Amino acid sequence: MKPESLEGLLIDRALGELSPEVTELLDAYLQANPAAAEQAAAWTETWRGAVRATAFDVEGRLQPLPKLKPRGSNTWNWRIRRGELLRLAACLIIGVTAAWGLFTAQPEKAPAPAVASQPSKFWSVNRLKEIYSRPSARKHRPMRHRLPWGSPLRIQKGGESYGTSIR
Amino acid sequence: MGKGQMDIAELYRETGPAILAYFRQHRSTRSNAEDLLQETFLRALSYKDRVLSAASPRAYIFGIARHVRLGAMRERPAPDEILLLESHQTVETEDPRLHDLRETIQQLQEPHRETLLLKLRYELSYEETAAVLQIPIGTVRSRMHYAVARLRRVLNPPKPGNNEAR
Repeated sequence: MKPESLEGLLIDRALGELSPEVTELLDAYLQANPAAAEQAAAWTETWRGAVRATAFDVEGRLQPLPKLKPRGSNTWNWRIRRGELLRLAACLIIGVTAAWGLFTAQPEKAPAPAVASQPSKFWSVNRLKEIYSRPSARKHRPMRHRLPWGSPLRIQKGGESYGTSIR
Repeated sequence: MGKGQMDIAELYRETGPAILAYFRQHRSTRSNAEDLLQETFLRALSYKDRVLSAASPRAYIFGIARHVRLGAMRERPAPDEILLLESHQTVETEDPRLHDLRETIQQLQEPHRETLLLKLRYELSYEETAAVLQIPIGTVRSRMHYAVARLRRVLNPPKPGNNEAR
């Protein structure tokens, strides 16, 4: 066996990292090789010394684990959820009531306008004829039936003087 | 208390002292270590399914503890590890070579020392150490071999002309 391979195996053996089968085979090898057995004892002694050298009193008394609730727990906590549920229920009641009122209320029918319901004769031609046929209706006749009155004055335009604008 | 929390509680009882020791190794005061311990198990509760289904829940907890420790160190650099020299009062009957071993461990590079101490103090296997440090098992093995070889040279200094010593 190569010294490097043996050394690696002996260190692993001292550290307890060999499988039972390999340990058994190695022990058999060491029984047949006193020099290798001496090395194995040296590695084991080294490791035990290191363990003793680093022995450490940690005052290992632990505080009791606080009662924690893991995040995402499925258990329902009524105390925490109560306020949330009450708010939700209130919103639900208000919404349902408002919706019920909207859908059940009958829209009031506005009375039809009387003018629109009956045929109007206000703007009819017959009514105009009737009006103009009255004697008192002359004053309502259009301008073309009246005598024009020409005024000597007129509103001056731009560039005209008063002398020219007076006829 | 649910089943998951019960299991975490059991894990706390089993690994809590070791985790506390791990923090005590790196933080000077006990209160700091206890705070970090609580932080570790709070995180473990957040990932309880992963923790409990891990190949080694103990290694998983150590991995969380390591992250917690590194995070705490980023926020406030820790004093030197309480390792070995300050915390151990040398007894007159103690083998003087143990003091040399402590000094040698102290002088190891951080990756080697961390790997070695996880095995020495907390008896994590290669596989568990690899899971904690998130490195291949081969790397753990080579670091361990290097560190143990250094320690052996302290206990058994190489004799002149001895080819075995490296």
